[in-house]
Amino acid sequence: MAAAPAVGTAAGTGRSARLGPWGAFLVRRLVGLTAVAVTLVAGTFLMVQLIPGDPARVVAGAEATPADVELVRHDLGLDQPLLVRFGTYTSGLLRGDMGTSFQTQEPVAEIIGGRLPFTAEIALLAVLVVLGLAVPIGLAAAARGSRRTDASFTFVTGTVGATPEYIIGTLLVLGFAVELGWFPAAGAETLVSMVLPVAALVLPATCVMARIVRSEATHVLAQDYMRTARGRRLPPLRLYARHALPNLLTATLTLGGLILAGLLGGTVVVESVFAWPGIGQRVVEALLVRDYPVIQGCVLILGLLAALLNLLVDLVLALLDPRTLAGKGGR
Amino acid sequence: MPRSRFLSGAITVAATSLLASACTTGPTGGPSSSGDKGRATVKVGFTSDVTSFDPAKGAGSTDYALTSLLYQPLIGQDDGGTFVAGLADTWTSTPTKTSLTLKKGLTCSDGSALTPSQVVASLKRYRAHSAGALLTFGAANTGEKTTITGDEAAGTVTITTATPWGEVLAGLSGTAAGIVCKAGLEAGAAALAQGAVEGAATGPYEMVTARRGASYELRLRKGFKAYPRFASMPAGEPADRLRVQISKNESTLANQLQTGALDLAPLTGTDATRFTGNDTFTVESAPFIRNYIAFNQRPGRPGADPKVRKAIAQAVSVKAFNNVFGGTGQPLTSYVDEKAACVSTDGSLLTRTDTAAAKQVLKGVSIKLEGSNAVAGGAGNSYVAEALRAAGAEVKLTNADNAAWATDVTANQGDWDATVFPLISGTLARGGTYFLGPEPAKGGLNYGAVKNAAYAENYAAATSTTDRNAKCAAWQKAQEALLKANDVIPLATVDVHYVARRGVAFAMPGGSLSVSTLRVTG
Amino acid sequence: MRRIRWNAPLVVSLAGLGLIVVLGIVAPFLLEEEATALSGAARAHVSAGHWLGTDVLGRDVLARTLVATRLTLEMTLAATAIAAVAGILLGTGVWVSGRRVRELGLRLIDVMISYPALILALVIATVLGTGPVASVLAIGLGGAPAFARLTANMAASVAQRDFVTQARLMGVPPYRVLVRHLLPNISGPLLVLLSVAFANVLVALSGLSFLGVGVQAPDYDWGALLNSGLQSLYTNPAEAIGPAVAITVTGVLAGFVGDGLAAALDPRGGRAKAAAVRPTAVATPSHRAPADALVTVDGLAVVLPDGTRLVDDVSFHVMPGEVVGLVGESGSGKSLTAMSVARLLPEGLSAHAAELTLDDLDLAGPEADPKRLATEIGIVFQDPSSSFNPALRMSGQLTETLRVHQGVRGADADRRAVEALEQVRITEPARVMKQYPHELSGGMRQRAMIAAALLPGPRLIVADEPTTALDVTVQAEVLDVLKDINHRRGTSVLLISHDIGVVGTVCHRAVVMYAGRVVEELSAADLRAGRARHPYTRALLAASPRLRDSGSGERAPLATIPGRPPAPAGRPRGCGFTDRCPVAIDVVCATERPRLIDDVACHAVRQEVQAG
Repeated sequence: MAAAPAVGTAAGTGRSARLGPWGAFLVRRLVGLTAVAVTLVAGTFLMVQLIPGDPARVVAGAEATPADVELVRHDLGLDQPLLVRFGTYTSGLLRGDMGTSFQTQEPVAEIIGGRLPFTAEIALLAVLVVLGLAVPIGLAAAARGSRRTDASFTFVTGTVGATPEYIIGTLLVLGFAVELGWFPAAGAETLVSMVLPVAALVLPATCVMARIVRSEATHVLAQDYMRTARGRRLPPLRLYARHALPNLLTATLTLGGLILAGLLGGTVVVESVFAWPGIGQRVVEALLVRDYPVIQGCVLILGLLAALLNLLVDLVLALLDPRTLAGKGGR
Repeated sequence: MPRSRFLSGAITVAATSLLASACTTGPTGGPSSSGDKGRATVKVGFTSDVTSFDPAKGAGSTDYALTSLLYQPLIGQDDGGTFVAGLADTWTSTPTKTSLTLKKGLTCSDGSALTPSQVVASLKRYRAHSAGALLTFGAANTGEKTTITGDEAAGTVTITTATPWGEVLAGLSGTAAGIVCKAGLEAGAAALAQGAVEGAATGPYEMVTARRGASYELRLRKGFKAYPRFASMPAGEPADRLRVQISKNESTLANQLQTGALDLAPLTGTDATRFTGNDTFTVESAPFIRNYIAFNQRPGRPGADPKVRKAIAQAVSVKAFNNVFGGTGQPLTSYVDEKAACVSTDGSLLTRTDTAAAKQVLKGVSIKLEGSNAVAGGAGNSYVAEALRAAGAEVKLTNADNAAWATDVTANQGDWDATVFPLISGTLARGGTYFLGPEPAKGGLNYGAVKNAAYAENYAAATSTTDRNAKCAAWQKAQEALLKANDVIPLATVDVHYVARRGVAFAMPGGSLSVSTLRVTG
Repeated sequence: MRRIRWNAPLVVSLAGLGLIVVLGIVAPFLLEEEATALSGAARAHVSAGHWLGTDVLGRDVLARTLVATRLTLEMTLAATAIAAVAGILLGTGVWVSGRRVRELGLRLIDVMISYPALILALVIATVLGTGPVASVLAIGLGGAPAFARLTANMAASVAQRDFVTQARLMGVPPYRVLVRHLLPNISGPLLVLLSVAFANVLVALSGLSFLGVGVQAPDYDWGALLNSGLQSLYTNPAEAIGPAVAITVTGVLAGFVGDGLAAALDPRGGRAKAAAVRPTAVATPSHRAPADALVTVDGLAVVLPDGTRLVDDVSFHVMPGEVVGLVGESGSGKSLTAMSVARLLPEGLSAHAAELTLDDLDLAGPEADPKRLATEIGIVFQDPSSSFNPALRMSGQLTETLRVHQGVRGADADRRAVEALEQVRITEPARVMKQYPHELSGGMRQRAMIAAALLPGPRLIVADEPTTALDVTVQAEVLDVLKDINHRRGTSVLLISHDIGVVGTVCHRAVVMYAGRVVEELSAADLRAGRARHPYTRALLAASPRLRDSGSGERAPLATIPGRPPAPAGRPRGCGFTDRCPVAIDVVCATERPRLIDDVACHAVRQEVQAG
């Protein structure tokens, strides 16, 4: 699997000559980011309008009369034509106003501000743990690939990696919370509350990641420069940490960034198992009651975050491996 | 190496603090004492977050629980429909005039006195903003046809209606009619909906901290005495602090109960059985949802034919339906449960299960059954579909989420023939509004286009009198008409099981939990 | 696509998946009745009648799990297909379209892939209304970006190859480039990706069901069954076990099919075959090398784990200050011989010898002092562009041996590295130190490589085809640097080359190898004068332009050696060159192995000598 940045080609050598490699890189990325943001705003708005089910009716409640429903519809501004609503929405966005929830009347920005940190907390922690575990494990598996360790590595990572997070989460709760009582079964009250949700996220992701790292590492270890390094008769730690790791990180971080972005939304299942008040759960709630502003806001923010993370990963990669900056690609 | 020493030191500190907090969050039982003698925090779990803190807009059990703690209604309704004192001490009621005398020395949570004029303002807001107010004051008494006045000197509030209406007291006892103080009324609807407005509370508790989607912490108001006087009020002291925690998943709530993270939680599913026969917990059950089958009776629909409705009633078994929910629900004899005032308990009015007879009618009949998957993933709908299929009908089951179901069925915008209706309200008057009046397209609630003149006539009679006997007699006739015509096929309730740790007690007046009756007994 | 090498995991997992597919086809016919029949006993525990108990409606969970196999597989396949088709079209499409479109497309894929797929799927599922079709579309579309990204990466490597570029320059329309050139060349990895995606889709679909927006009754897949089972997990765990096991096992099997396919398609697939190493007979010492030789190679064999000898009974020596060339065609074993001397054989190969020493350092033993190896042997590898670590600056790479093994501190090491770079005639050495390998030209890199080899002050430099990867003009410069070092420092050099001309100009002595054996040893002077005796050496000389041109002045047409050398496993009992030899003697050459006598191993030469 080639590292992603290798595919970004230098757009216009003339421009990069004037701006320098970093300038050209940033200009390119910012233009891209803006385009993505515009697409996301329009996309989420339209997609949400397609959801069947009448939000006004849900907000008014099952026992409301049609007159009540119409009143609510007017209050929510849903009786306006689509274009007008889109205009209201975008002009609000420009002022930093993401609207208010149909259901709870809270400003959407506040909802996101309250929920996102919870998700970010466990997602970030999970990614750090995943990288911290998967890289050494994968590297070790690639370096000392005896037939037996290979088979057990493949079996364990294959099995755990293919087990859905909610099954792992449920088993963790059963074992460590209900039976042993070591950790809280749910909630986000104390620091230890994070242990089980993070473990449920980490276990399968680590296995998947370790496999990727192993295959990348096998590739890296077979490279000529590794033979050169072996020719210097370096101690194993130095050989792997200094020579193999940086080259491994390019691919690993690309995927790590993806995993983090995936986790931001992917925690939804784990949030549900552990009653974790994250943004994923909130989206599901909002979807069920057709709370348009909340769905729009959350989906938009998650999308923007994804784009930003993408940029961040590429920045880190450019710092780590100067070849990627020029976009020439080292291969 | 100083650097690695620092690192290992940091790791040790982090590890020990983790361990320490792990030890403190172990499964300790009982309401936790926090320092001062007798000051306890009771932790209550719910499966859904609050949607609105505005009592007039509350829409879920968590909304009702929290708003009932913050905003106290004037009166309460106890078992069998009798009324008990709340903020009001005494009252008189006729079909056109209801007068209530407030208790002495009532205060708002900001310390100011709660005056009759403030109560009037709060009730007027209720009338204008709550969907339920229509039933409180009567459909014929909208707007200026209801007058609400207060007498500061006498400490009374008087409600007069132009047309006779007998449900005013019942309406005033509802959580939605909880009284909001001036601070709340001035803060506006948005502020009331978003959170507890400071100084607006009239109930026993006020909000301390709110973490949306996660937890709410409430503090007992010093000197609050206006608790509703329910007959079954448990002994003990109200908890100094209440902590309401949200866990979407019932198994999670049960786990939290089991591990000591919660003291009280409602469970509707099978997880409740984990606590039966357990000395540490008490389990009290109450109807949560009343399930019945209702039909789209518009011309051309199979439900328009009384014979088909009867055959469908013959095809389903209440017992089997009840088993789907663990057999813990109560078989219904009307569209509300037996705890409701004036409910018909006459089993002979119901159509008996008779699969053979059902088959003769239903063979080859195509039925589009649509239900909500909000309760147990729609398992009840699946049962009805299977039972009708077994009786020879060609059933197309749609298990929609609650929002889609409400739009399709209760707003009649979908293509449906029959539905399993999950009724939350436990009173005949409220639950019965769906079977009379105009269709949704014409501004009514009659989603199935039921035309049952005998029912409508007796409904009107029952709701416009305040005389208990006359009311119940009319209700009996109304229910009889509905059941005989198979406009409604009662199934069973899905019960909510309130699991409480020993040392925590509460009352369930009229068959539903009143959180403000929660007492620490141990 | 490459030929598939069947392996045990692949066969077992394919068989397992096959069984599940059969189940999916058969179960609904056999068990439909049982799966929908209401037994009346809701949520019954495990019993003889219901091996996994019953569900809320009293239906047999085992039967339902088996019947659900079909819908689950159908949905998973359909969603995988959607993800694959959309992803592959997008991922390869960007590579056959114009540059601007490609830039934009790749950027778009980047952002789409980092978007939380499950959230996207949730929204799509809600828009389309819950049910199998909505779930399939939601998960399929949600998974497409990941597919697109991976396909784009695979396509990238193919699209930049010459034949694709050429096809596009010749105006072949994009879709034909796609179908004819791109897809066939990535079909192997795609197959692996598909099986992995299948496992992911399976889990994702069940996740939708877990969140309550998946398949709804009356339909049921494993996810829906599991969701219902999890609700009673603490009261009747049996209900969840069936679908949970089904999902996990199927996912694991699909993953293993991916692993198996990857292994089966891997060109380096032989690696895992670490069969019991057969004992290799070590030749008896011949003691032919002078006692004061720096490097002594005596009876060296390089052996595959299965016992195949890639290098067989090779003996030679290198005197202090001597430049010895190892010459031969590719596959002759010269590089393996050199790597044995450098103690850097690839994994799986082992060297056995009567004697393999650098002075008093045993290079064939089980342990060798890493410090001595690192400092006494300098190695110059063939391809300078791939032999430097692309992620590290030159300074760190050049000075690493000094710092690690000789305890030289940073600034000191840098100073010595700059001196070494000057010695190999690199201008602006201080700047080069701060640069990354990709910022240097090929010739610069190779000179830097030589500098790195020189820095610890080695006694021997092993140069493995040091000029092969370089331009002709640069080649001479690099060789000059090597010669220069040999002159000035007296460092011995073992130079490996396929170019007999190079060996003739640079070395003092040449050792000619053919098919894993030494066929002749001769001085450079003899080589330059064309005084080779072995028919193979002569043929090599005939095929080398430079020496002949400089030798006689007249331009003779270049000769080629017909035929190919034998594979190591199929080496004949006698002389390996027999089949291609113009002077082969019928009986002897094919059956009897010529020994190296008087520096040449040839029956014909021996006969001539004896006759003369």
